[in-house]
Amino acid sequence: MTAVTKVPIPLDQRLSAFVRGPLVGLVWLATAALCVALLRDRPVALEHRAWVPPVEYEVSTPSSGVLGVVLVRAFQEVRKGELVAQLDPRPLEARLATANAEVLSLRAQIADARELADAEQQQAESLAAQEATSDADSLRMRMEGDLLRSSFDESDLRLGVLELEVQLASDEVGADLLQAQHLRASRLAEDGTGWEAEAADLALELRQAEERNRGTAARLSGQREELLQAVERTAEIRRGFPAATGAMDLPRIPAATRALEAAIRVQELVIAELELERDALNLQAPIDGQVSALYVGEGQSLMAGRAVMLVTASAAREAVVFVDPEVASGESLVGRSVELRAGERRSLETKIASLSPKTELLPERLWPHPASPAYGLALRVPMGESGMFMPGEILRARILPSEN
Amino acid sequence: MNDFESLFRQLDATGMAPPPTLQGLVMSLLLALTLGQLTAWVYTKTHAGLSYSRSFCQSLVYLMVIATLVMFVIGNNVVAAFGLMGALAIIRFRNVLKDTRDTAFVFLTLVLGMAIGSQRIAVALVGGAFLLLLAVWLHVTRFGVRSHFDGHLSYRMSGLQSGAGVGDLLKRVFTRYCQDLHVVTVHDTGDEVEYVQQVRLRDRKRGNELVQDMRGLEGIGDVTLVLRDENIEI
Repeated sequence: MTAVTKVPIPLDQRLSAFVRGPLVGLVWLATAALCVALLRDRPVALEHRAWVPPVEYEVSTPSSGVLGVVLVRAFQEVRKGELVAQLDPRPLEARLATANAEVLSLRAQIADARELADAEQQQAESLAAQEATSDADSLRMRMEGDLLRSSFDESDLRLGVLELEVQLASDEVGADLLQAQHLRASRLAEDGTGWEAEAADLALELRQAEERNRGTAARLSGQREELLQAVERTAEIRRGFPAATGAMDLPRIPAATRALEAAIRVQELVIAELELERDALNLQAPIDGQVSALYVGEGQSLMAGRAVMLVTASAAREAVVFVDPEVASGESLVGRSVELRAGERRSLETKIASLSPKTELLPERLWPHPASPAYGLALRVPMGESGMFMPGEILRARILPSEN
Repeated sequence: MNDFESLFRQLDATGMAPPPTLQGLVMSLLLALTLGQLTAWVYTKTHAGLSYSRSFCQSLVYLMVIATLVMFVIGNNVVAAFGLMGALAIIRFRNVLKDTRDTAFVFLTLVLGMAIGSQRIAVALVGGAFLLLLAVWLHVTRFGVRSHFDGHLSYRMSGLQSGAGVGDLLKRVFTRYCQDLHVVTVHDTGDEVEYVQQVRLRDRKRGNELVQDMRGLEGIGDVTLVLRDENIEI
């Protein structure tokens, strides 16, 4: 039988058959291969939630009072130690005035007591001269008089020191207030609000006050030096009294004088306490950062410990990564490298420093759903001084395979 | 086993939804297409019944890709998810969609609308273009069609030709004009045998030549060739 001549299959029919048949399979294979390639290039690894916890400090008042002046505004940058607010110093100034009055009263009483003691001493000495007492008795009487006068000198100098301390404390309170006012005026002047003249006046007053305070401090220092010398003299007389006079006991100080000396000691403690209160009037920024919240305003009455403002540190040095406890159970994560990522362009590779000992509740913003609390183990990850991420920023963390 | 587990964990969810990058979107859509076509092929090959529908088969591919797009649009937003569910429910009650492919296109429209409304413009553009190209591709390739025959050929054989199968002459004619033949029915009335065959022609335009040649053969009569519409599944 002869071979059959087959009808040729037209090209369009061949093409149509190819499109409807093998081409679909080829395209599917190509797509599958592309998927495999993309999956392999996919940045795989378990990703974990992480964030940069903001370092925040509350500036609170150590004592009760009225908030006198607030020197900063919300979101203003502050430096560590910078004066940010001040309590009203007037109550303290009143108490310092009272203390000063007490000191003056004591000084008057000491003067009266001294005058009385001098008169009694003179009377005793003249009586002794008339009765021709022995040399030993005369020496003893003289030394008793020296001891008494030295005690009175010491008390006088103590009162002088107290007076100067009260004056200095009072002047420094005034200087602090001037400084706070000058600082605020300067900041307002920088904003171009027309406070330049006021700022200049306050600057002049502040310089004058500081000059006065330096003078007072110098006098106080001299007075303290004299007091030390007086104390030494008294002690020297006390030490030499038994040997010079042969007496076993030291002469007794008159009761009134002892009471005055006790009152001076009490006043010293009162003034020391007032000086501590003066330090507590000034509220300073605890860290370099920004004022993120102001809770109270000027003139508001505050109890001790009340928060005045919140300062957030400018730089974040640590991130916290939360992992599933199962991830941490199989192997040690401390020392492992971790990649922190925010967005598509910012990333940082660092090492895990420590692992929390217990499961913690994640911050609410990291929960996958607002109504479903999430828990995890916290890993502390130091970031150094990179400053790549902002405090409060949410990150994605990928724990890199160990090098072993 | 540890390697498999490690691979599985690597391919599994990362613990939190990654941002919808272009690479991630394209990879996801391609993967959905690959798995969707595979699903549809398995469905086509394993379907045993009378209700096979090419439209349904294509819908399997559409829905898998659209579901992928939905996850990129909704993400973790519960409100958007409930909104989509509500919109679908409203459409279902208001308009009974008998064709699954119609449902898939309605779904696609909703998803693209939600993507644009939620300002995921890139997702809407890329996903929409991908799906529309996919629809064209599935249409052009007649994806889901099970039969590859061009039509039905019926004829009667009488005399010495009947009872002995197809004669040599008939065979030569078939070899000349047809790529493939499949006997569907054989009706033997004693004097004649009626054959109905599915036929795939070498050249669809020369079907009448096949009929003429068959009619020229002795003992062959009532030759009828019915070529089906390519868009209709028989």
